[in-house]
Amino acid sequence: MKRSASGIPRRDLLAAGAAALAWPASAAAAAPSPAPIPAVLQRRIPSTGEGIPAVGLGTWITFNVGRDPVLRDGALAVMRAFFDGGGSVVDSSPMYGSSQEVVGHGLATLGRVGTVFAAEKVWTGAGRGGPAQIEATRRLWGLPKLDLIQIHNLLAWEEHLPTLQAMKAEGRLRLVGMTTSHGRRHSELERVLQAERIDTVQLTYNLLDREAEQRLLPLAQERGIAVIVNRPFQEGALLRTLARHPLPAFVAELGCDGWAQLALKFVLSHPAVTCAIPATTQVGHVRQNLGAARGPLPDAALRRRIAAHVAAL
Amino acid sequence: MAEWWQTLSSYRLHDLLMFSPRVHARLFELVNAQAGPLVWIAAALPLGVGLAVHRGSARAHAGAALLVSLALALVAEWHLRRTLAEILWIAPAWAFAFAAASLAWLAWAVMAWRAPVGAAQRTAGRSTSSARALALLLACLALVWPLLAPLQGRPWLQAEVAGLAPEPTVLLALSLLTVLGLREAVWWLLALAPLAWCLFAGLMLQALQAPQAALPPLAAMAVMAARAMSLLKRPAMAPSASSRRVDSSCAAADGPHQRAVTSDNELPR
Repeated sequence: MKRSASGIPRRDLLAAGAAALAWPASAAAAAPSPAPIPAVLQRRIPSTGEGIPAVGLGTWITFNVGRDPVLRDGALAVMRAFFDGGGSVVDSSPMYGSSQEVVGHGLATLGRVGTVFAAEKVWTGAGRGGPAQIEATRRLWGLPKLDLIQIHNLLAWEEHLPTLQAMKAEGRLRLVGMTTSHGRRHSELERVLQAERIDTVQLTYNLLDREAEQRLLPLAQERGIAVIVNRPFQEGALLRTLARHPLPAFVAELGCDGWAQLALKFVLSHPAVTCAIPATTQVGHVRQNLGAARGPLPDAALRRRIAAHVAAL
Repeated sequence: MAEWWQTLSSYRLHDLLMFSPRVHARLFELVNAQAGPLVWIAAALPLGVGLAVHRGSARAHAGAALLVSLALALVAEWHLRRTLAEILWIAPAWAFAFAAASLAWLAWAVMAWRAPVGAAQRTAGRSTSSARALALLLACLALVWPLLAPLQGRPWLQAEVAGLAPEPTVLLALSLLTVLGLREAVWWLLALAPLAWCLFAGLMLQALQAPQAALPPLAAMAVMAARAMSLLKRPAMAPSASSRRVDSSCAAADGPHQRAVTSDNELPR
């Protein structure tokens, strides 16, 4: 596939750009009807060729609300905004308390069982416990089949990986992945990426945590492994820091409405990145996050300038 | 096991926090709503325990222990098992620990109530004035703990009340423990879950960036320090054979509750 200077598949850039350009014109032509929302940028999973929206929805902490009806309604509103805005990738884990159950409740309530891309994890120290945990997860989501099972934080990955590959071969799941976060165990993850056949890798990457750029992201790109990015805002800490400063004028061409969109556009503009999964409890933030996957992304030169600017703040 | 530890040890305190401060605050609101009018009775529990500490009689202590047992049981079921367990996978273990502690307190309360009056008074009377002051301070802290919600800008419905919320409940237990003259094994049996929760709550509240995070661990440390001091005083203050025969810890008693007794081991200690 042809890539732009930033390394983004040219088709993606053109589609996003055309949609962005078409938006104001169509809105003006049909004033009474709501303006069509530009399509969210799609990225391909290299091993299957299927496209997924470049911005997903994380559930760590934000969806762990138990059976609290008020907070569940809040999570439901977030999911509704996410799906209505063109999102589909939802990521969770058995480690996240009640998040899986809350996601399942949301999918059933919203009737989105058929449209979600279910990115889940297996998180148990013994390989023999994996299948039962995955089955429990599937039931909580209320889905006939989960799309992606990732080995959470590389935990017992040598035991889980053969099981997951076997389940994939049997058609019980579609994709197999591996995760880490906070920059943990990158050396071991690198060895896994070099030696094993997996479909996705999930890691932490953001404007400040950029270690993955050195080896993991290029390696994933070279090996045809989709990259899912967690903690794009450092659980909000990055945005709290940046909020004290104005957006630099040189990013005006990106059309960002704030630091959150710029931070996400920075992540998404790396050629190896397939999808970022920010978590939030705010409907407004969901829309803002999805907005980062519309319109232009920074090219390589602009990426360098943004990173240097943020590092200097 | 090694891999579990390797993974776990790479986490910072904040990384282990599974829920937001908002969700944590809502837990109390949900439990209070379940409890209904019982909230008002529960809110008065620290008064009962504080009164028992002030009176210092064995029967008052037994009654207060019964209240602590009830409070621990309610917290185990309503807060830990039914509510917190939905968002924290270690909560069922805490529910079990609180339930076990509740049974231990209940057993002690029953035995203390049925014990001969002389022995009961002796056990009740061994606390020092400083221990009673600490006990009253802890009971007062449990009493005003519900004020944290409005002070932090949260609604009154989220008030953390003794008997329904863990922190004020363990403060009550620690308050009473400070004035009970108990054998080491019995003291630890009654104190283990409250002390452990103080440490856990301190870490959890620290991760939640709650201003009161230091209070539970400080309370636990104060109680343990008071216990250590009372143990250190024992040998030096047990000069006679007759008082050694009774129980060396009796000699540490002071104030109006100090009594001479001739028998020992009538009371569960």
